[in-house]
Amino acid sequence: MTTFLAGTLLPQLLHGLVYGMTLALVAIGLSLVFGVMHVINFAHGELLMVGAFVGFTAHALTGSFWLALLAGGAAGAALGGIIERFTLRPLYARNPMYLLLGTYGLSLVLVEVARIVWGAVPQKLPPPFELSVHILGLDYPAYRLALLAFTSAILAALWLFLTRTQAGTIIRGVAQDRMIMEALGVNVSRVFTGTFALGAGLAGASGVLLAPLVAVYTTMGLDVILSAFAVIIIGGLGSFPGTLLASIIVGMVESVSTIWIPPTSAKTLTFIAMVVILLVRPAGLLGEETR
Amino acid sequence: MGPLRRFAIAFAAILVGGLGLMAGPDDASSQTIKLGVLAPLSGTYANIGNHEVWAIRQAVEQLNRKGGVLGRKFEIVTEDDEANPPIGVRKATKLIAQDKVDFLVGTVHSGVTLQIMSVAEKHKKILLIPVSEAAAITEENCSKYAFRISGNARLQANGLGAWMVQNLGKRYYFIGADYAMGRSGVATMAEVVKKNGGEDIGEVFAPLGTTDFASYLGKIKAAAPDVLFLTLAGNDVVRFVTQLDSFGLKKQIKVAGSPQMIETNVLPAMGAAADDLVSVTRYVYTLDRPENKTFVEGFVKYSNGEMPNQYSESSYDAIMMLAMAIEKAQSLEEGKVIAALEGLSFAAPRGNVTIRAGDHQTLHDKYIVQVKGGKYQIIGKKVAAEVAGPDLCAKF
Repeated sequence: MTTFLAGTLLPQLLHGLVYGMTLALVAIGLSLVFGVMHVINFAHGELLMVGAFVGFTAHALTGSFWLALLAGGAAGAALGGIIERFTLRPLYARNPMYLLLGTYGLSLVLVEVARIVWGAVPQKLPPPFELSVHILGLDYPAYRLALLAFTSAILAALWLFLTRTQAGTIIRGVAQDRMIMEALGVNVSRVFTGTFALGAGLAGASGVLLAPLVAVYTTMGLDVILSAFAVIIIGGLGSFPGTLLASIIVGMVESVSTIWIPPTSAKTLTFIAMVVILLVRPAGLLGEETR
Repeated sequence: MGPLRRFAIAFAAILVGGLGLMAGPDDASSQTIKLGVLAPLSGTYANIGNHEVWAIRQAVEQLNRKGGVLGRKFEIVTEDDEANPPIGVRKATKLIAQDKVDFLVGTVHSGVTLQIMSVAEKHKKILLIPVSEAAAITEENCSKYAFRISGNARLQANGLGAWMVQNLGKRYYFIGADYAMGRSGVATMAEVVKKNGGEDIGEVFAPLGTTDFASYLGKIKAAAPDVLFLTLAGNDVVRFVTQLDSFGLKKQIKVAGSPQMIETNVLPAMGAAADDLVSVTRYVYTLDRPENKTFVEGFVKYSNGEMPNQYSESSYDAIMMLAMAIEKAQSLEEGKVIAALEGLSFAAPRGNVTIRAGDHQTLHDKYIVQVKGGKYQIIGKKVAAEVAGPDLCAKF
C-alpha cells in the first residue's frame, strides 16, 4: 500500500498540481477578459503562441530566458491592446456573435502569420536551468517545480493588483456594472483596452513559461485552449478563484486517473465534467448567476 | 430603369460571365497533366506537409524543364487537408470533380489517406501515397488505384525489431499516438519483438496534441523496461522526448522509435535530448549516391535550406515514378498506368525502389540509425529482401 502511495499516487498528484497550475496560468487571462468585458477571446491561445515565438526570438538573440519572458509578455500585451482597439472595439455595439467570430477569425490569422514569420518547424526554448531534484523516486526537473512557484507568484500578484490597487478596483467595478462606472467618470473604453492587454500579456508570458515543456510551434495555442475553456466553464465564467480551483481539480483528476484508465479517456473526463456542470450548475463551481 | 429590368440585366451578365469561366480552364487542362496534391499545410503535421509539397514542386519542375512527359507538362493544384479526415475527403473530391485532376498525390495522416483512397477508387483516379505508413493501406484496405511510395509500418518493424532485440535489450515498453499510425506502429513492432524473443511489458497511447507527458513518464519508469519504443510524431514527439530527457529517464532506459521520432523537422527542437535515440529509416540526406547528391542540391532551393528527409524523398520519387509509368504506358489512361506502375523499378535517391505488383507497396532497403549531436550515424542496414514482409493484399 505504501509503495503504491509513494511510488505511484504521490508522483501523479505532483504532476497533477504542476499541470493544473499551468492550466490556471493559461486560463486566468481568458477568465479576466470574460469577467470584465464579457468577451470570449478565441484568440487567447494564439496570443500565448505569439508570446512564445517572440520569447524564442528574444532568447535566440540574447541567450536570456528572463528577457524572453519579458519580451513575450510585452509582445502579448502590445498585440492585445492593438487587437482590442482596432478589431474589437468597433464590434461592441453590435451583435455579440460578431465578437465571437471576430476573435475566432483572429486566431486563424495569427496561426498563419506565425507560420509565415517563424515557419512550421517546432523550435526549442530551453529552461533557465536544467537541474533535477530527486523526489518521490523520480529525477523531477527543477523547472517544473519552479513553474509551480512562478505561476503562484503571478496569480498572487494579479490578485493583489485587482484587490489592492486603484486600477484593479476600477477594473472590478467595470466588471460589475459598467454603466455606473461610466456615470462616475471612468473611461470604460480605456479600461477595456487595458484589461484585454493585461489578459493578452498574461497569455504571452504563459507561452514563454510553457515553452521549455512543450516547445514552440504555431499550433501550441490550439493544443491548450480547449482545456482552458473547460476550466473556466467548470470554475465559473469570470470567477478568479473558480478558475484556479477548477484548474487544480482538472489537473489532479486527469493526472491521477491515468493510473487506472487510458490517458485519452482521462481527457474525456474533463469534458464530461464540463457538460455536467453546464447542465446542473451553469454558473460553474464558484461563479455567480448572471442576470 | 425599373428594378425588374436591372435584375434581368444583372442575371444575364452573371450567366454570361459564368459560362465564360467554365469555358476557360477546360481548354487549358487538356494541355497539361494535372496533379492534385493533398497535404497537411497547417496543424501538427504542417512541416511534413511542406516537405511533401516542396519535393513535388522540385520533381515537377525538373520534369517540365525536359518538356514533361508525352509532350505535356505537369501542373500542380495543392489543397490543405489539415490532417483531418472529413476535410481531406472534401478536398480530394473537390480536386477530382472541380479541378478535374488527372492524378492524386497525398497525404501524410494515415486516417486521411485511408479515406481518400476510397474517394480515388470511387472516381477511378490513381492515388500516389508519399508519406502515410499505416499497414492497412497496403494490407486489409489495399486498393487497385492506390500506390504507396513511402514505407509500411510493418516493414519498419521487421527491419528494426530484430536488430533491437539483438542489440538493445529484451523488455519493451511502448508509447504511441492514439490513432491509426501510432496504434498500428506499436502493434506491429510488439509482434516482431515477441517473435524475436523479446517481451512486451506494457503499452500506452497518447491523444494527438498531448502537451504534458509527465503522467506517462511515471508509468514508464515504474515498468522499468530495457527499451522504450515510440510511435509519436510531429510536435508530440518533440515534447515527449524533451520531457523524457528532462526527467533523466534516458539514463536508465534505451529509447528507440519509428522514423518520425528522428526526422529532420523535429531534431532541432529536441536538441541534445535526441542524442542516442535509435530508429530505422529508408533515407538520410547524407547517403552517398549520385542520385541523392543531385536530389539534395535541388531540394534545398525549394525548402529555404532545410535538408530533405524520408518524406520529401518519397514525395519526389512518387512524381518521378508516375512520369516513368506514363512514359512506359504511352497513355494517361488509368488501367494502362496502373499496369505500368506495377513492378516498376527506379534508381531513387534512397536506393533502388520497386513497386510490388501484388499490393502496390514500394520495396526498399532500410538503415538503422542513431542520433549523435543532431546528426545521423548509420549503425546497421537491412536489405529490401530481408524486410519485404508478406503480401497481405487480397482485393486485387
